[in-house]
Amino acid sequence: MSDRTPWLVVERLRKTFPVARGMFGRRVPLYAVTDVSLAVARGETLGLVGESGSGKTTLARCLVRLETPDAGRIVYDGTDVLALGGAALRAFRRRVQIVFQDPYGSLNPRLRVGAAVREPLEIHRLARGQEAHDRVAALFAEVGLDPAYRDRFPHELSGGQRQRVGIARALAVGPECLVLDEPVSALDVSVQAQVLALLRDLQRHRGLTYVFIAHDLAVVRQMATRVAVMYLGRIVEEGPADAVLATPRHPYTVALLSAVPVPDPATQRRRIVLPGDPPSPLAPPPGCPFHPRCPHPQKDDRCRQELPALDEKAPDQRARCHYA
Amino acid sequence: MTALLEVRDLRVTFRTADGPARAVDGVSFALAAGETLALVGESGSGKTVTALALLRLLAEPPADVDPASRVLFEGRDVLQLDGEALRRVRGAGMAMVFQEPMTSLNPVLSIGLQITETVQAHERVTRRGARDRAADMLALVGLPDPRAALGRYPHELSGGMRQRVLLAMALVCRPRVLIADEPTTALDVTVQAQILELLAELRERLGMAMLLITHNLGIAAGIADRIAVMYGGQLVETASRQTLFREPRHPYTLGLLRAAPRLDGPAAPTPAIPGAVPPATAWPTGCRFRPRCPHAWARCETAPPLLEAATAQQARCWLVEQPGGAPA
Repeated sequence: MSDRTPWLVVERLRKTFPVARGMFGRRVPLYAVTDVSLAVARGETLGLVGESGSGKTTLARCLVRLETPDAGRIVYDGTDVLALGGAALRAFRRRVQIVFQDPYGSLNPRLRVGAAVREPLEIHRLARGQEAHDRVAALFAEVGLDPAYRDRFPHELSGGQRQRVGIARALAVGPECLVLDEPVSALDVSVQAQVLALLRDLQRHRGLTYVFIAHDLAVVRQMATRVAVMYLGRIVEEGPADAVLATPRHPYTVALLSAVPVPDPATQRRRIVLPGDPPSPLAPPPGCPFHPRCPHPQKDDRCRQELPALDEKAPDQRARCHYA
Repeated sequence: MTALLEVRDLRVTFRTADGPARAVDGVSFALAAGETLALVGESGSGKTVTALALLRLLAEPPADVDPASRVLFEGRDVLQLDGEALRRVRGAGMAMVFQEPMTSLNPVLSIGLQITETVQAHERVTRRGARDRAADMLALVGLPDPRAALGRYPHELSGGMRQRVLLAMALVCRPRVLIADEPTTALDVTVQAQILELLAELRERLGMAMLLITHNLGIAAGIADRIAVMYGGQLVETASRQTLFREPRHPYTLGLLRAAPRLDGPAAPTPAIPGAVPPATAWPTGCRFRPRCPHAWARCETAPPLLEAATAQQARCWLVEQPGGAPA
């Protein structure tokens, strides 16, 4: 991370959820985020990749203080985010906003979409009356929505239009940083490309910093300048996007990339089919969390017993593997 | 090749508050024994309704299947069958797996009971015989310890394991055609790879034909012999998978191929198709892709039929007859 001035820094973050198991509801911890450290520079896009249960969504929710982590630190522009409260927390929320996967689930179905975009302006006392009305119109135009749509309800819009409303709502308070949690996963391919283009334009014009969470590596490849791959609550690989996606070091990243279907029969690659399912975050395996499914030929007792460190394997590219 | 399954001019209309929705509007295709055809399209294209109509799984009303539509399975029209005859087609003839394994399984019945029930619904077998068949099938789809798995419940299994159970249930009567509707969409990519591998392997071992419904061109590229692209309730292009990816003739197919983000090739942003799929209650007049098409010209105000574009390739586009491109 030589010349990247860190803007958003996460240090040793941990978040567990108590889960009831069995007939008598004995509570056991679910390790959603076990130990995550990362740094994002201003104006860049960090792509956060992982399968279900990897902890990427919990991490996203911690970043915007929708969840309170058990341990660790989040520092944004020099401010300790976890220590904030009251007015300082509200000010932080104006600077960092989140966009969810399914705007159908995150928008109030009985609120017209214009009012949904106006709401944050009023909550944060940024505008009211005619000024708020004009700001909403400007936001609609900025995200490529006809301002005439402001009187519609969410169910009257297409998936792509609803996601544009979700983005406009996040932009209403003038944030510098957006945490995008699977922003295009629910959309059809032809519409997905439209929303990705919009996100790129917004980033350029507003100088936004993005934390872009996705399970689709091909989408992340288009958006991210850096990529972090999560597995079972930990980052297993991290580095410049082109390096991680072209020359992955961790065996999980290698397998994940090989599993993505290629839309071209002429270049069908060899798929590495991992055995089994991702292990349960209720009972993470000892040692390297990936060892039960790892196809690496050198896998041995050390992998079963000792958690590998996230070490530099190539310039600026780190992987959590004893043998990568 | 004689067709095992032949669909002729399938039309399904739904009665909705906004008027009739012509969800499937004149779809015809044939599937030969052992062949895999992928039906590719985005949401609202009509691909799932097509699949459900083949097995008579649509509730009528609100669905209304045109009396002139034909679904010929081994020469008999499935749309005219009922009772015992329909049940026979559904078991050993055509079987279906759905996208969401959790909602397709009964949460309060054990896996074993659900599979043996399937066998007993379609064949005269003893309960013990049905149970043996269920265990064999679970072994075939790669469930560890199949005998023990018979006693387990859906919630005790992972998403990938549930999809394997559904496959076992669909295949236990040895159907000649498997209809798979987005069978890996709800799964993680590493688990998706397992299921795709399993589908290809089962297809070889059991010699069955497959109709794969998917929105993912990459999945179609990896497993299908032929691909049919749907848009607006119609087939807009059919071709072998090699031809479809190398020389697509319909602008929508080309648009989809270009829009799909991919891991090979340059990392540049992919171009979107402008606009959105129109609702089935209001298909555009003329060519249904016209409002989004970069090549639309005067002739597109008349709806094009599926035109022969090359050997074994058809496209619903007037450009097929205008190889130099649309007139300016």
